Amino acid sequence: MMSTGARRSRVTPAWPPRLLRVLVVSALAFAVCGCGRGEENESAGVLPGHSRPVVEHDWPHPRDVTFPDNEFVPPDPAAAAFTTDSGLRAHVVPEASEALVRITAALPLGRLHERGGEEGASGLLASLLTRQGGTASAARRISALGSELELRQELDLTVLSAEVLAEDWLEGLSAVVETLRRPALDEDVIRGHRAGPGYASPTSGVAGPGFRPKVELERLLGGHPLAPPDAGTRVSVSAVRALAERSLGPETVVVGIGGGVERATVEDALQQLTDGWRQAGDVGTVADSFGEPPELSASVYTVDVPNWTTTGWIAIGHTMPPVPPADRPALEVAAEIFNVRLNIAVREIRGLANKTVLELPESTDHGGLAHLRTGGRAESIGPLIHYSLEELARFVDPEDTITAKELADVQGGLALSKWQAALDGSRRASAAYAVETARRGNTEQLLQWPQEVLAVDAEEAKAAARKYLDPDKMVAVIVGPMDRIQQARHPRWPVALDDLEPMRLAR
Amino acid sequence: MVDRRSPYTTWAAVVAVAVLMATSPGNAQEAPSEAFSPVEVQELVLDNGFRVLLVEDPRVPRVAASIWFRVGAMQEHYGEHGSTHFLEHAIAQGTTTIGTVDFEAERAILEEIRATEDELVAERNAVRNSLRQREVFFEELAWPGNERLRELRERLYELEDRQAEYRIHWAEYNWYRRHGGIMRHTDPVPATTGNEYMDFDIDLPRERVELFFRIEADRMSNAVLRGWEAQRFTVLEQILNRFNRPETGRFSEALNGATAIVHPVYLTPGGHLRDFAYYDRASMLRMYDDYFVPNNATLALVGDITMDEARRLAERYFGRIPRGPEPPARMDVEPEPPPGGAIRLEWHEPMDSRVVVRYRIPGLGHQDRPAFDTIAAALDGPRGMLASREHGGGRIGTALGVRFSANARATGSQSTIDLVGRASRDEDLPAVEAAILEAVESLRDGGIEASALSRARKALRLDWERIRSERARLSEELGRFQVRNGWHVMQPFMQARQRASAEEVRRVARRYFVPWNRVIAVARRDIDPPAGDHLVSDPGSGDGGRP
Repeated sequence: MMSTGARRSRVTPAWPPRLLRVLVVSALAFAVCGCGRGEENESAGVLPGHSRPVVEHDWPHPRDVTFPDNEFVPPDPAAAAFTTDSGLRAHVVPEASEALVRITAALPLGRLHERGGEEGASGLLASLLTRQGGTASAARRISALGSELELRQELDLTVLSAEVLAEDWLEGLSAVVETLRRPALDEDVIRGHRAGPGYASPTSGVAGPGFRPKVELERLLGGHPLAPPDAGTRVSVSAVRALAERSLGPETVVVGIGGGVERATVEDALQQLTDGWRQAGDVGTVADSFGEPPELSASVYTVDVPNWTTTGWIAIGHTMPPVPPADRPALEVAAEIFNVRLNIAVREIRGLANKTVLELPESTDHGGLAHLRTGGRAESIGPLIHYSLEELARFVDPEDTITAKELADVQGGLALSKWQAALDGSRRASAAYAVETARRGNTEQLLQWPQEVLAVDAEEAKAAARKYLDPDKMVAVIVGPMDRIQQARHPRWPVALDDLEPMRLAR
Repeated sequence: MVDRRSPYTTWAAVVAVAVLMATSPGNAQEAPSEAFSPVEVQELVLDNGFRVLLVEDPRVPRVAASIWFRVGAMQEHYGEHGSTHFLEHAIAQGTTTIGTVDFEAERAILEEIRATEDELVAERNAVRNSLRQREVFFEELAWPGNERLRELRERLYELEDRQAEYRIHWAEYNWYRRHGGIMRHTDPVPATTGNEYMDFDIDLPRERVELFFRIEADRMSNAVLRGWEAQRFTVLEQILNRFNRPETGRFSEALNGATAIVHPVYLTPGGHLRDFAYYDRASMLRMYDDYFVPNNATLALVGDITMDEARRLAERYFGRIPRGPEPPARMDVEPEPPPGGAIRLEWHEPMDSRVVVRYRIPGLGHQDRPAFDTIAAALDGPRGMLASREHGGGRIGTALGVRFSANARATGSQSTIDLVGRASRDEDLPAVEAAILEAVESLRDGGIEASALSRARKALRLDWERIRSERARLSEELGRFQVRNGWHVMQPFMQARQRASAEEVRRVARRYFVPWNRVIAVARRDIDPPAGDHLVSDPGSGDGGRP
């Protein structure tokens, strides 16, 4: 517990006999090995190249250590749930010791909600909600509190969030709710808007939704709404308004408030802020499956970025149908195990890339683009594609088996690491509950996740991998200095790009 | 309290702790933005010099643990830049007991690897004059060599392939992961290396925190190099990623180079491409043996753990490791540039249009340093003083669509504050530069606006509350302050920056925001890049050092 004032640590001296024995033995070993006489490397206790001896110890190996049961219990989402008279759902997770409050608003707004003639409207609407704009803008009000209004948008979900001091929670909450209730749909801004290329920078690293090879792959495999709208696309004022009408209503928005607040006060504020808010229209998605990709004439495509960069970036993937809830845990376990194997194959053994990762779609039904994203110096590009696909082929081979250790490592990671990190404390839990409720209407799946993950066995993980991942359907897009990449040959793993029969994407 | 004379204090000497932050009588009347919520830090120092810092926070049954070593890019030698970061990866491949199925079998191979590498280094020395760079610049990734070097490198690969038969990949990472370790970044090497430090950090369920002590004590004392040659390229990929973006690579490095004459705090952690060819195990192990000793390490724990629990674990694991010789204590200095030495850098590689106005500022621990965080917070962002400068009857940030930012770098050595304006058009850059310099002048004249100061203080208080309430961040700040200056400086610093007055801002602005202490760098979007015939040695010719 944090508290004011100071505390002194008192020492209880300890000199257990066993420890003494170890020290004596160590001292003898040190003497015998000749340390300090300039012959360290010749001695039994010194590893080659070192100047000091190995530290002898009786520490247990991690595999031999057993730990007590884990004590983590997330805040009770049922106790946190609240619905206003207008229909807005909220999760309020108070924590008196917190000096901060996180405010989250999650709502169904993304490319999957764009109907004909509305291409690009979801991104523009989200931008309008969070832009600095006029004096009443949420971003400006949050900025005055010393914080920032953050925006995250996925295929069918938009999340606005801000973290403010506890004394400012009402102003922060008002700013977020009011911008959703009365969005400033500036017509001049809308008319002046043109959809961008959909990526942040031509070669900006593996992370983020703006990873260019992924965007190009989405365009190749599905176009809109799997892909962002083409560069230069205009969005009409009426399209933005129509989407706002459908998306921004008290029954579509889910709010999370966690930290140094009192529940009753928050509930009163939410009632007032949403009083008289009119319900939205039908927000249903326009696409529910990306399972059937078009027939393509090649499996490797390239986009030339001829500048001083020495690195090429790669996305390798295929579209994936929705994943029923029963298959999700096994597929997640399989993906995590594959990611470890993949990185050992291309990073640890071959040194081809710093990071290579299989990403599953983030949409609510988990349909979308399943893809590997990676990148490396020119000579690595050919081998990266070759060995990544080879590893995937091995992984989905029925003869290959998942070991008990692989399974346990990954299950621990999913159940104890990722899950607890998402629900760690009142602020994160309130945000996670809001997002989950906006996605699925409740938090049941989220709360059952650890048990479901731990129940997956090796065969189920394998079956899920074979069901959803197919190396023969994978298409690769390379973005980078193609002349350099074409000419390069890795000295140890000489897979030429020509061997992969690339086809240049027209740009 | 420690009684070092007592025979019972052989293990540990302790100290307590305490940061008596300022509960001055005036606190009750403080404006909210000046309120400061301290944390109670406990300290334990074992007899071998190993330091433990601890903040109890039992709200969630987890513990953030980070271990810090006072070694970073500043300790590297010329020709081996990036070696500390490489070492970070090299010692994350297991130990004598973790990550191996038969260490004794590996040990014999390690002897062969050492002998082969000795040969390689000797050969490189023998042909040094035929390999050295004589052109002005070198070709990225061209590693000059000869047939003998190629053969020896191939031999090293073969030996590592043999060693790999006994290797368990990602052993430490997977133990952490299995037991619920949350890692700050998703890399299997849960570590960071900067100019002044290297740290390994994990957040674990409270009942499993012993795993951290077990693995990190072993890593500190018994790390075994595995997969060295592949790591050479994996780490290089991280560097390429940075270098391939001008703003984080070449431009940034040139700006740093223009900022100082000799101070190594401006070296780029991660190093240089050519140096990767010359890393050798022997020199890296010397660095490991020198700096990875308990008397150069600090463990920062924040979460659901008591000092009694931490002491028991620290004594069992880290207390077993003998105190080492004191690491080299080089003191780095930067001579004062002569008055009139203002520097201007015109960048000729196309990149986003921007102006960077940089001033040198003192390091953490100097009394003038906190106010620069206040200044940065007041100038930063779309609502900050930079974006608010008048232009054509409006605010320049809005009128020209310029994104302004301000950042005061935190290092223990001398440091910098960067005032940056990113324009959408090259032709706006003069106006952007003028706006930044006008804002600086207004600070020198005591013109910080009350609203800007109030907003800055609130932003800094918010930042401290985030640090205070996030286990991993608090653990990180404790460790960073300890290696940069001392952990006890952290809270006075945070409090001082939150309370800096307009007069204090004026005082430091007048002292440091002077032309001879400034570097201005300008980059443009539409500019002809240099001619294609680069001044490199012989493009594409050299891969002789590689098999």
